[in-house]
Amino acid sequence: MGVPILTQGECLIASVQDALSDAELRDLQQRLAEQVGARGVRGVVIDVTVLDVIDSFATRTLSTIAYAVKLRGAEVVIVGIQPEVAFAMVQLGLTLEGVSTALNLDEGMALLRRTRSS
Amino acid sequence: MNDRPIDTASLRAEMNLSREELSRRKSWLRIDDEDAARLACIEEMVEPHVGPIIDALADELLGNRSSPRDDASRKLLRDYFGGLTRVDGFSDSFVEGRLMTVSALHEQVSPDVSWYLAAYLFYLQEVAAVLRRSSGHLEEMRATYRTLAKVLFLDLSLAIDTQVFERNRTIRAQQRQLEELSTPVLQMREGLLILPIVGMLDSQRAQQLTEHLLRAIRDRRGKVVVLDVTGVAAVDSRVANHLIQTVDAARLMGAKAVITGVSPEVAQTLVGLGINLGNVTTVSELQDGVDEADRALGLRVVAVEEASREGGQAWGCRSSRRASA
Amino acid sequence: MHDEEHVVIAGDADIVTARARAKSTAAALGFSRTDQTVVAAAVSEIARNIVVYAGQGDIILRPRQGDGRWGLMVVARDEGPGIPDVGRALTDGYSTGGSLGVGLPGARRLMDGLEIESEVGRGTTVTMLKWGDRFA
Repeated sequence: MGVPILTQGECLIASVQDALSDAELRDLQQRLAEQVGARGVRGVVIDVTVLDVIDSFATRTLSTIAYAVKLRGAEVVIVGIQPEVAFAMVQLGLTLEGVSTALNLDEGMALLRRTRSS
Repeated sequence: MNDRPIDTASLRAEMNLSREELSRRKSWLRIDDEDAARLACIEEMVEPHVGPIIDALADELLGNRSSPRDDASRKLLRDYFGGLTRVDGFSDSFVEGRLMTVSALHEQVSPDVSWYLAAYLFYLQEVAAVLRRSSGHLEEMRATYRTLAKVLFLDLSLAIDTQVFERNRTIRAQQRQLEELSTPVLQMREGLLILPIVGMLDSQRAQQLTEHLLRAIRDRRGKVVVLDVTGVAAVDSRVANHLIQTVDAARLMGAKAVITGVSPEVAQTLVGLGINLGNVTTVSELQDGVDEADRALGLRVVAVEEASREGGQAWGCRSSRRASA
Repeated sequence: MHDEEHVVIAGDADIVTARARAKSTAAALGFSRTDQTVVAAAVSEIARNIVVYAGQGDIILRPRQGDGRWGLMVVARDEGPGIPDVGRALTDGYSTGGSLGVGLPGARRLMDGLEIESEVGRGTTVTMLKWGDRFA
């Protein structure tokens, strides 16, 4: 079970493959916290391109993940939120405030590199 | 001509032809089970005579032309009027069948409403003549004629509905084209999109604009978007909220939005209304907005002479990338 | 004609099912991609409310026709504790469940109409409706 987490240099890339259940979200949160803490990871990209709905629970969990990762000294960026999903999210008042976002994986990695080098 | 297959479910929804509506029409016309039964008898009587009636009708409509297309039209007409008496209790499938035939006829021959009216009257008179010539009880003949008239009226209502539907569809397609033309997303340079918004901004239009912009961000990899509202008729709290939502949604996709064209007076009004534009960068002039965007993209625009002195590219834009958070 | 669909909500996993079914039904009714997502998001919030506050319930997806387009009515029922102050529950930021209180007011913003019937100790029924685009 679970969202695959790949390593690329000093970054982790979590690619959501499918509709995320609450349990899978919590599982992702736990595994990312563990891996970031344990391995000197500098950045985490969470790719949600595949998600066709992001509701309040998912948004809260993503925020919590971001917070937990930053506490452990790494940067986080959420990438791949689709136009329709972004639209529905802001209607619900979910803005993922305080969490970095980028269009896709490439942009996300570029953002992490820029942030680390400044 | 339209070569999309006819979506009868959509047609029914558009024309509001739910079961309830159909029941309503039937009760208006006082169509009952007796009528359905009578129609079954009519079918037998009328069927052999339908051919010449339709041919006469077709001649009216098509003249004496004969081409494969005209032959197809004649066949359509025959199916059309022939199908009138093949009623199986006015069921869903009967209605859908009639709709398909009506649509096909409309696309092939495009008769207008006056033709429909004349054709139905012609048909009714011809069939009445057939009924009179057959041996039968006068009262029964009258009842049969009445039943037939009811069916024709029901069918006529479907035909007119279809006409209206087709016309509305054309109008809506044109409207959409107009909307697309009036909200172009311009790409000024790589990563920089400009959306000039002009006119009244009601909720529906605001939503369309936001969707349009978000799709453009994805398709053209926009990093900074400039929303110019100079041309918006009235920037009130509702419009401001739409703009804020658009800015927030753009950010979720990794793009920064700058709003230009908000005069100091409007900005003041919005503050007074308690609208918090705090997170939103607003600039009075479009040029300033573009400059702001360039800064956000890490770009600096220089004149061509300066660029060539510095050994830069011929098109006069030297990119000085700096780390930005 | 489109029939109504029924989704049982008994746990977290059913929230995913409910929103997926809502999305595919909306798609079948010709809703735009944005509106499909909007409906799915609203259903997700309401289904979540059922799980959080009542433990279980069900959701009915009912296609409607009217005014030249298809619509989707969503009826979410539970026999949970009920909502004492419906007006307040529809105000942004209000919540007793430890969540952000996004669910009901958010769903109302997303949908074209939302009504709540609730009785303390008996349960809650949320009825909401979204119209698709007029037929092109």
